[in-house]
Amino acid sequence: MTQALRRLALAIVAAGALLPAATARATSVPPMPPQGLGVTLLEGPSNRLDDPRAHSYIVDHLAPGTTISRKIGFSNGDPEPVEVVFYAASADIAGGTFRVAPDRAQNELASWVTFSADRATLQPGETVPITVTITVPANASPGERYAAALGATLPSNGLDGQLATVSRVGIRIYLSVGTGREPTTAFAIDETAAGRNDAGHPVVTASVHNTGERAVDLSGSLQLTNGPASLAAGPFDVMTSATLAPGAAGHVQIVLDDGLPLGPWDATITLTSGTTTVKARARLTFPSFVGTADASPVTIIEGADATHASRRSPALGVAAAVSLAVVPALAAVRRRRRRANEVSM
Amino acid sequence: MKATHNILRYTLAGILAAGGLGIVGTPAHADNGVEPVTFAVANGALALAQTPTAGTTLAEGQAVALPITTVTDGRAEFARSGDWVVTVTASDLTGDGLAAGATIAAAQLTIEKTLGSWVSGSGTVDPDTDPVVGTGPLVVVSDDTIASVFSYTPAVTLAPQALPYAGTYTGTITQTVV
Repeated sequence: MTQALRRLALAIVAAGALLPAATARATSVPPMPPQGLGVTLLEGPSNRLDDPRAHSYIVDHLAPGTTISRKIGFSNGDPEPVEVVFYAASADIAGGTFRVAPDRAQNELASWVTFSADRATLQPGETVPITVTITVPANASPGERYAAALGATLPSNGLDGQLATVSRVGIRIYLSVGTGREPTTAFAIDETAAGRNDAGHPVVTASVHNTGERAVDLSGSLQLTNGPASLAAGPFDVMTSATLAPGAAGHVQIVLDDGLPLGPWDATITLTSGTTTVKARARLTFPSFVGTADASPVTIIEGADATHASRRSPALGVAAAVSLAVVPALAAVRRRRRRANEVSM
Repeated sequence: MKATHNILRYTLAGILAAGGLGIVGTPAHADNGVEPVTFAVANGALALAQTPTAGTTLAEGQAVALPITTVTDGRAEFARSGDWVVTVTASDLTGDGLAAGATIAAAQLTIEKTLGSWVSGSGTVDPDTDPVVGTGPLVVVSDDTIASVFSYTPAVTLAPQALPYAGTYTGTITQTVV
């Protein structure tokens, strides 16, 4: 028995020793990066392993005086070498969008960010890891700040053009500063409305506002049940999402197939930002004509989901009353691709 | 004997955990006593390419095409919110030759996305995005599919000018995707 265990232990050790080599061989020829200048976040904080946002963006809560570093990969998917400069620029959130400022515009956060290299020449197909370090001053005031860690090409003229072009790619930085617990991530679904857009498609619009202390990147889906003749449909993905700063309001929309019966339906909308989820239900009937909304009461059936932030905060769970809302018409509509048209009895 | 079993169990669990979660276990810098550990993100790239077909020469009041721009969202399923935004920024135009010393403010330039299309995959392009004057969001996309590719040709228009000096002006248009 002891020998068997020893053999097993040796096998495990041997496998462990061989694995990196095998992995290295398997990944020695990385796939060609996408065309142009690309960017990838290469590492995130392990306490946010289950947070999708932390896999794409630098999202963190740090005490004053803290320094962290993250690796970012910049890639060249073009057939020629490209020279890239690295720097941070300020950003803000407005109109439901994360917006990066021009040039090297600085805010507090951008000024705290340094790069392991100022510039690099990327060979065709090459991805270069750059370490980004964020040093929060000891006297930094509490609050969330936004910036972007950027890689930019040098200005490139076309053939005798007056205008040169620059391509920039970046990783968003959402950094909360403060001592103690992380500020709450929370949002509320205030209203939903059913309508029909110019293209004749039924539209569900949910008005949302950020009730927490951190920005949210909203995505989600809509499920329709208890329709005519007990029909059910969905889930349909949210097609127009939103990024909302603390205190800001916006809306998300789901555009449905024009063959969908008018209803009434039990509409369950689920919105998520990171690991925080809010689910609301309403009874909706789609209008048969363009641009008219139908209002129904909304009930929050699931508040802010347990997260590293919201676990320490009261759950969001306030039933919201609904007011009439006019559904903004969408000029362009496409059908759901993955889960559309899943109308079933 | 029992101890050996436990050591093996822990060793095996450690190997499985490391392999399964992809945790690198690299302590990030933290000068406040906290030692956050990082994990390796298995993710693809978000990329932007501009392919000039010719030099861009401005004409007052006339929309002029900028390079064909392609955005590829290669981010993995878990590590994506499914949205990206391209912000466009124009610099001030500076004069040369007879116009040396003269400047046309970036706010005199209007940039539009014009028509765009999905080369592969799909997503929702926000139709409410207004033409950008100087600086602003040019393309806002939500809920795109993995490895989707969106291509468009921005156009820039210079407002009619009452110039003190006629001449050649140069500037830079920057597109940023995050």
